[in-house]
Amino acid sequence: MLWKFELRKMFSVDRGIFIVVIFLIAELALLILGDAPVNADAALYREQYLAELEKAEGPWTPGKAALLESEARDTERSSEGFNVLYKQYLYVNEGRENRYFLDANGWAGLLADRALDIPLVAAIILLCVPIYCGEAVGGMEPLALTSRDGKRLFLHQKLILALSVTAALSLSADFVRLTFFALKYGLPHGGYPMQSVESLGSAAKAMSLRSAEALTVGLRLLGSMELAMITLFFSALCGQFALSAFLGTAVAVLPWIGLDKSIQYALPLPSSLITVVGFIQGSEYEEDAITGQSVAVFREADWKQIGLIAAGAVLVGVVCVLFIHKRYQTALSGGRRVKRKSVALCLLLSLCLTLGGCTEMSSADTGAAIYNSRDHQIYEYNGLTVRAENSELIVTGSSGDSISLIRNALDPISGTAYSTNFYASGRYVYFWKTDSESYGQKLASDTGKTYVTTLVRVNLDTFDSEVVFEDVIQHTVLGVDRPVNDPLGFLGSNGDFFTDSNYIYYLRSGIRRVELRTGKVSVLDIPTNHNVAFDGRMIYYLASDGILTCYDTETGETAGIYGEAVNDFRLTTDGLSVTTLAGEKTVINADSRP
Amino acid sequence: MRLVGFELKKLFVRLPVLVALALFTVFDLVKIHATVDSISYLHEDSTWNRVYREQYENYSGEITLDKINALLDIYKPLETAINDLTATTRTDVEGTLTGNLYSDKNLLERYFVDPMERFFTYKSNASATVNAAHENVQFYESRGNTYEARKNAAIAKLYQGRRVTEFYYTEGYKLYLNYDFSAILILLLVLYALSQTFTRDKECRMTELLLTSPGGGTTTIFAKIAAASVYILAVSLWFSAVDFAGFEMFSDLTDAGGLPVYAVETFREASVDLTLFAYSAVSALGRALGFWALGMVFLALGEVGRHALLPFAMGAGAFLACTLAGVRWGYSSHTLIKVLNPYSMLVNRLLFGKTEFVDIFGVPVLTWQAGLIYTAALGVLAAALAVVFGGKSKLRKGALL
Repeated sequence: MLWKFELRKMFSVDRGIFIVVIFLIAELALLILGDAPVNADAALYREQYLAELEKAEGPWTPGKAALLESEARDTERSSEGFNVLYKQYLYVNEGRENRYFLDANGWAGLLADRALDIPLVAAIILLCVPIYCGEAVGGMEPLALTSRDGKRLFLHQKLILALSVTAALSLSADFVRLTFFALKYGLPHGGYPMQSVESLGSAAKAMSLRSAEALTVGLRLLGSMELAMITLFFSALCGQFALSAFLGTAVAVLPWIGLDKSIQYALPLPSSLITVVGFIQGSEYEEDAITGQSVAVFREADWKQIGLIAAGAVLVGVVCVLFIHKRYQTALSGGRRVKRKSVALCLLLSLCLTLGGCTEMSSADTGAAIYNSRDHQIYEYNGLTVRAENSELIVTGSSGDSISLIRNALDPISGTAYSTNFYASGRYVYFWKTDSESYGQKLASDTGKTYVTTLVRVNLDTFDSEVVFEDVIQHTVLGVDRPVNDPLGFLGSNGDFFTDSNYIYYLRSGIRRVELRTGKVSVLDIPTNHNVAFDGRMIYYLASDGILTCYDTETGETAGIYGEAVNDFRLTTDGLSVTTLAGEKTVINADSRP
Repeated sequence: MRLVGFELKKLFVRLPVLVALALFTVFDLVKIHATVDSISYLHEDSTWNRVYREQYENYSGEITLDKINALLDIYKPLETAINDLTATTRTDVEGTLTGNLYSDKNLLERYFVDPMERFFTYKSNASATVNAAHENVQFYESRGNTYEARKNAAIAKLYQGRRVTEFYYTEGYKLYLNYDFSAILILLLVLYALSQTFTRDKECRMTELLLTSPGGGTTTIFAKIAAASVYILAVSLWFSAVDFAGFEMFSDLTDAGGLPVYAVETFREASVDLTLFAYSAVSALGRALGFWALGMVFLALGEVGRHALLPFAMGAGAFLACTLAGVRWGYSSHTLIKVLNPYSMLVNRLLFGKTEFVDIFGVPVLTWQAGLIYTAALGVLAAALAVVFGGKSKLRKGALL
């Protein structure tokens, strides 16, 4: 009977049901929005890679090594998919006994370095604080304790309820993660050693991928329980909402932000048990930028240490429970009652978050363009000529006077770097700008580093510059180093590219297409070893059989243009100038394209 | 006035707050020690530290050609030997500073040659910027682009005459000015105290009582806001002072205090022309203002719940959202988003440390100026909302009584 009331109190009166729902949404949203594949190329060329992987899957054998080595020498056949596999081979070769070939992106995402699970911590604290505070503040405490079932209710039922809800939260967070990675990347070959995942490569513990995941689930469950018991302890101790929430948050978050990683994983802290990755990974060494020596920044936790920490966490929990027990044996403290009231101040909250609906600038106005990847380093517009000269973009007017296209007065101070490759269309010239900043300097670590890669366009009429796309990578936030996978890391280096109002097309052994609004990368199966042309909508290229083909960027359809294989082509103002295999030149009217 | 005193005492001069303040202060110092230890080479009891101190005597102070030449006389031969791959890797070489040629070269490069070169060339870089800006002014005026012309005129004015004439140890400032951990500590203390400013009275059913007293109602609310403001400013400035003292203790801030702020590498594009010491104070005040504005938001949120948990969670959530936005847009070229995020005023090197402008109706305004005005306005608005909501509850309760 009483169970029902307690449940109702937790989920309905204290709005626990909202907390649980928001928690699940937050977990899912973080995964969907925040997840980037650990091995970006393997995800990008997945089909190719999986096809290549078939011949190597499983443990290292001399036969596989010989096969891969010989194929690597055969440069004709090499594909991006094979390159991914070959890189993996180089990794596997370093530890032949326990590094296996497999498509590891799913496992890597599941087991790799990650930040504290903030939604989980928040949900646990929010659900556990009112457990005892509710009665204390409401003045029900003495009443409840004097009733016949009072003490049993107060102690055992509340405690069991809070702990089982916590366990459910922790497990469902794991379930969400597991499902997400299984669906997105797949989790094949759970029996392979966990060292097959690169971030765990140096671990000395012998464990399969599956048991590593089981261990993380277990430890995270333990950490969640510990946090719940600590919060309950504060809740019983203070009987005040604000103070309990404050102490719970401080215990959960501060060690994670403030303590060195080695110290964190040497103590039975809820945050380290919930973050868990330090317990399964191997030692970390970093090469000192100056002395060249490798310095241990993190020592692997062995089984004994993990056992001790688990025991420590249990001990902390037991002490908390014992305290609560003691407290309610004697507690007959006075109380107060709260009047119910709810005023929504969402207006104010949304004011803080005015940052939501911001999109990258991307007005159309690109119009017709003539771009050939083989000869695009001179662009003419309205009597102006743009070209790269001495690693600078120069604009020459009709009178012959040259000025710099990039007119940022701060460049001598800031050291901003610009690409000399550019793309032009209509009145706009597009080029890349890269900035970096660092305040950490001691180790070859990423602490304090920030990289900003920006696609800028300059309007040749007004010389105004606008940002079209930017990729910001910040390694340290509020003093916390965060794991960063940058799927856009290939941008900005001096590669050929063109762009329309929705995408950037980056020529890099095939075309990588980056969506301007979301930054999502996909691959177009267009060979880039010949000329690639773009007219603002159609991409023209030579297919692998030499047929001149066009790809419609709006519909995604491809079609052959010229009946037979050709040698080369150019896009010009008159149309497509084609060199046939016989060496003859013909011009196909641009309108005759399909 | 007495009410403010009472409110302060009631909410903030309490055992949990004082204990937390003390513990957090210790924690902050521990973290500062770890930060210095993990980033600087000079902190440990190393040979580098000893050698650095010896050499520092020779080169600190005004940068003169004599000093530069003396430094290059030691440095150049080392560089040549190492580039030729003829240098020995032995660690007990006679006549060297640290016993090893590579180590000597790295030490000199990192702590003397590079910074001194940066200081020395700053003047010419700044004048190149001024010239480019002047050129741009003419260029854009001829094209009728008044915004860019104005912006470049502002840049020219800002960088006119910038130079670094003295050499001092600036690494300490680099670490201090990029240190953010204490912001979390301040946040927690502010959240804790403010989330219960209103709810505590509700929990005790004091609100009804207060309404019957002559000093009740709006007067109490104003007193609470004043008390909260004092508390926030005090906590925020306290931790700024602890940070300063910590970095002074574990690194060194005294020597370079008189250098201009742009002598620090990550502040080379700073849009304020202050000494490092003055900038530290300005930055601390900016952060205090940012926390005050956030605090007022928390206070207004405090009206929401029947107990302190909801305001606490909402406040923490708001801060988290601001931080995430700061991660995405803190270094972005979209300066307006940066200015509108309260996070930028807490980590205010994002505003002070960059020369960036916001286009406000065709007038280029430096981001820190816009940020200060926006943050102050946000705080005032939130405080006003707190009063309005407080007043509303008064009416309703009044009707009930």
